[in-house]
Amino acid sequence: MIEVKGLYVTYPDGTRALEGVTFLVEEGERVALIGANGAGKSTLLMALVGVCEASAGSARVAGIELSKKNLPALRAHAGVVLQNPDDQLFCATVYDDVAFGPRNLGMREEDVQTRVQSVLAELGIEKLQSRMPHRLSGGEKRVAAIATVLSMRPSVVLFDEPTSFLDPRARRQVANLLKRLPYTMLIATHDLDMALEVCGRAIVLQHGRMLADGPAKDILTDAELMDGAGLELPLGLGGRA
Amino acid sequence: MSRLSDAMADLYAVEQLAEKDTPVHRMHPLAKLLTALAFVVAVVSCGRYQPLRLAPFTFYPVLLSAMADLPFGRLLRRAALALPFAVVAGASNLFFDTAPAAHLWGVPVSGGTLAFASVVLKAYLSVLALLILTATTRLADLSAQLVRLKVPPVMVTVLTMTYRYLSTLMEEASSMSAAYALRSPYAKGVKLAHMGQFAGQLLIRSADRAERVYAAMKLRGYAGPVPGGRGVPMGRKDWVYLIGVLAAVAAARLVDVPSAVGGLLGGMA
Repeated sequence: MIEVKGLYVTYPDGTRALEGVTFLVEEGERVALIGANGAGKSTLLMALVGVCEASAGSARVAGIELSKKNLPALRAHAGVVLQNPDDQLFCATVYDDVAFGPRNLGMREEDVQTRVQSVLAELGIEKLQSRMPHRLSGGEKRVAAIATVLSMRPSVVLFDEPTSFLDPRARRQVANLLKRLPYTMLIATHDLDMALEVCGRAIVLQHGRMLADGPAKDILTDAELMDGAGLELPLGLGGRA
Repeated sequence: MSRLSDAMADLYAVEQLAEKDTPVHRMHPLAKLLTALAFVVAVVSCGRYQPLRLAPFTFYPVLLSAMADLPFGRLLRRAALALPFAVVAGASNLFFDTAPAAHLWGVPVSGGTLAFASVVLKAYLSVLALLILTATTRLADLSAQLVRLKVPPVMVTVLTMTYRYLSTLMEEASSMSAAYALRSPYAKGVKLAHMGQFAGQLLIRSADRAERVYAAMKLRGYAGPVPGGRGVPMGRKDWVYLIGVLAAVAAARLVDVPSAVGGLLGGMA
């Protein structure tokens, strides 16, 4: 569960990235976070795990209050899949990358091995385990990046643009994966068709403020709202190609 | 920037070689690492006026690359990249150590010439041995063995991540260079006047990436280097290989093989 109340984030240069954002994501819910470039989507995700410091307001992720002293516990329960898998995959092999989180949690090596194998099997990428991350295809990198987060068995997963830079087949693979993963998810995305397919609910951000929050189908089909937020209707619903 | 593309292709080629399945590739990484280190120490410790003493050591790279099915010619060319550094390092001997130290077919040879040849050969053989090590052992396996040998984990992490992001950085430089070339069709490479901007951009991008990577590490609980990795003990074959190669290297170092062979041939004549 994610509970955010009046969250403000101000950058060091004085720019207000988030202004009084408030919402609640229930357990098991998949929520799309949409908005134009610079709307504050990534900032919100980073603020929820303490990478960006909130200047006011409060948040509770997986039952843990967002505060400096709670960050290790919070990060153990809330996984973040970054936009660029090259930032997320920094070890020499996929296996070591997937094992990185569990090892940091202090797990024994035998348990780490069991955990890694189960996650790799869950995502169908066992054959990638000995590969070097920088030699994987875009789609493989993305799934491997998701595996590095799921191996920590988080309660909540935050995705930053999970389908960006992917070809149609890899995008489809990631969308299917998101649909079948049993986690509470907050997905920041520009891929509105994927948002409509994967998420039951959508939150629209504009200039750091919440513009709308409701069922994805209602929000993503509201041409006036989408236009006001600097977005377009999903292509599947007749949006401009 | 074709040089960058070539460098990337070379890096990839070495990685591909390390994926082969030969008796040498299957050998335990610790055995290969220790024998390569012993080889380098033995080569470097040979006398500075005795370049001929290095002759027996040439069997190590030749045999190993044959057994590991490596393209020896390509490895020789790759190892030659180290030669300019060795030549610069050894060149001063030619000028400051001019006294004759030996005779070759009656011709006096200065100590500086011998020392110069010695430095160049030592550097070349050492680089070749390490190149063969990386062409027969995956970096992940080597890193795990370095940790096992009690190399500080922070150093191993730096080594692994440098290698990991080297190709990403090269790809970035390559894209920037392509973008530059597309808008300056008559320029041959990046002009000197733009080099500062180019390098600065690359540095800024690298710093940004470093920040994002560090955030990704912290988000997965990173609080300092984590010792770990799957440790597989050495088997009988690995021990035999390790002891065999160490003995051969020790023999090549301790016994003056060229003089012994020379004496033997002289005696026969």
